[in-house]
Amino acid sequence: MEEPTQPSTEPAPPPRAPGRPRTFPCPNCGGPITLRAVGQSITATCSQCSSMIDVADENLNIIQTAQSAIQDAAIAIGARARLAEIEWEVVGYMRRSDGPGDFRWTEYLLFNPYHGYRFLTEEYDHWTLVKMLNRDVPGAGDTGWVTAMGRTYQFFGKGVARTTYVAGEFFWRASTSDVTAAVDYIAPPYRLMVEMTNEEIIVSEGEYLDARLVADAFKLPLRVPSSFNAGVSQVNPYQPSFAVIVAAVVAGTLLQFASLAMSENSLVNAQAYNLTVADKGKTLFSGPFSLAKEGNVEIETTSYLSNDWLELDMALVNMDTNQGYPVFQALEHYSGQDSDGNWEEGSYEKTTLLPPVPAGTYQLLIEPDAGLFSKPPSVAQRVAISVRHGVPVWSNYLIAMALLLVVPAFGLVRRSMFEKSRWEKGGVAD
Amino acid sequence: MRKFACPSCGADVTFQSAQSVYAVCAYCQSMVVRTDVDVRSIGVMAALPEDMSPLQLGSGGYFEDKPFTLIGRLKIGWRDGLWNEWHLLMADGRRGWIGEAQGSFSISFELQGVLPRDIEVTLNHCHASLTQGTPAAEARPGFAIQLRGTTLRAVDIKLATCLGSEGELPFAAPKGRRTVAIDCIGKEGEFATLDHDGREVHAYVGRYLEWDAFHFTNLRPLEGW
Repeated sequence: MEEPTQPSTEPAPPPRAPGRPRTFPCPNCGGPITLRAVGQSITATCSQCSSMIDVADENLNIIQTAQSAIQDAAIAIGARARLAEIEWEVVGYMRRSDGPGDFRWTEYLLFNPYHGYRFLTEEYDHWTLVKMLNRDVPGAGDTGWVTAMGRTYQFFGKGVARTTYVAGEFFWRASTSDVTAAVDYIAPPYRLMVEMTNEEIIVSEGEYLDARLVADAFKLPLRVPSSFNAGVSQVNPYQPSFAVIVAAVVAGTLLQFASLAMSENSLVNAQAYNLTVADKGKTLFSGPFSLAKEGNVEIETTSYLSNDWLELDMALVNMDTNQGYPVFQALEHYSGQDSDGNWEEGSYEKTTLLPPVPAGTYQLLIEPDAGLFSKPPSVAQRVAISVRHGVPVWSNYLIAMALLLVVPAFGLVRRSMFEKSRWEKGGVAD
Repeated sequence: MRKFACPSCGADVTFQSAQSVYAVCAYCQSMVVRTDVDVRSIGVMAALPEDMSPLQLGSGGYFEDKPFTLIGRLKIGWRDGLWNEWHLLMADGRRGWIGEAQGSFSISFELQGVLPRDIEVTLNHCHASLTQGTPAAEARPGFAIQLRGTTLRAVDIKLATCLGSEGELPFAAPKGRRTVAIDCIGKEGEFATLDHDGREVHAYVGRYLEWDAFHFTNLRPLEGW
């Protein structure tokens, strides 16, 4: 680190005084005005009477006396915070809105004498740290995609930005008559903002900051936006994770097919019973059948009833243990004709599934009741009862699949609701 | 480097650069103009407006790994702001400028030789601004210029007034000296400023750099920072 040719060895000229903020009395009300960015600020407002003073000129002319009522902001002028590894001091803030006044936001001017300025914008509780770019961005101002700083930005919206209130000091002639044409582009978490006046084009880049991070940096309790309130440049946090769901669906399906392959699905008993009125009050028995291993039992009853009904109060009884498993089935079938044509009600068959029972020898006990019991003995009803063992069950699998798919479906819905909230904040508007 | 006695107070006035033709005496603020043989005073420089600049005369820095020292300063104002132009001397004798404006720092060097034709034309249009005091209608921001093979876009046009100077400068800079300045930037942060002072046109080419890139030394203390 070589120094260039040494200056004179004579006593050095009086050194320049250290830089310090400057305080002067407000020309309107006498209250103290503190200038922090001395030499760079050209307008400043009085914190007591909110008059705007021209501080570029030694005469300290009043630009505007007492703007409308003083508006405080969440962060006070003079507050300091460390953001992006640099310490910043808030020297001013502005309230801004779009042309019609539908969208409002606050812009804080942050100052560091070495690193310059940043803007910290707050829009519906969302925070963005904005830096003016000292680069040309070709295409800035066009609709469509724009490339800058190695990122591709999507056109978000354009319109007009108006300033409705100013407080503190600014390095330009900030005033409530400031109107600029503004175009916004997003590449979450980044945002590109282009403001144009007759005399200059300012391109800035913003980065989305978590409200909690800003609150910690300023040591202030700041509101955190609700999860349904999306920031314009906020990264969409709802990423339905398909990997886990897909893995679960695949595993579940494989399990299901394995269980299908392994299921017995055997017909262990099939009998037909000819019911007549003589069977009233009696218990019918099926022949014994053996279940080789533990498994479910399906009982399928078929009977071609003709405008009649049938109730079977049954029990599957384990002949070794005398354990009984009750099954109740009711069948009915009615048909006829009316003004609309033929009608039909009921069904000829009924199937009931019993949960798994232990292996063993079983018998089906049947206590029937039927409409035919009040009919002549000559009328008979054939009832066929089949017993199957180890039948494949689909209902559990289908319910599980539906539940598994609800999770990503829910995630997709939240993701698209977030995007809707983002684009509602001035997206593609004029 | 040459040392002269200030014509007003006799203190040493040093010209570190052979190209400096003007300096402000650090003791009595006389504006000293150098001829081949000696110096004469052309008046007294008014006190410069105060600022929070971390730089001062004698601050050192680096550009492309080569050291430089700040030897002079212009305080420039325009209708909507103020900024500093620091005159720097590189170790190899080259002179350049550091622009300190709105928190951004740029470094640039004067383009020697004949200026590209379109720059001449643009600046001549701006000549009207100097005489009439209103921005030239023909030159609005957004037009492009070609310099050393790079395309730069004009982003603002200012009618600038010198508010004061200190140290040594390559031209006389009394308070009130007016110029039209057109700032241009490129896609990678390249920077150029085109200056017309009523008689001559100058073009300065360089780039914007972040504070950390300069590795400044001998900075002015700032209260609270």
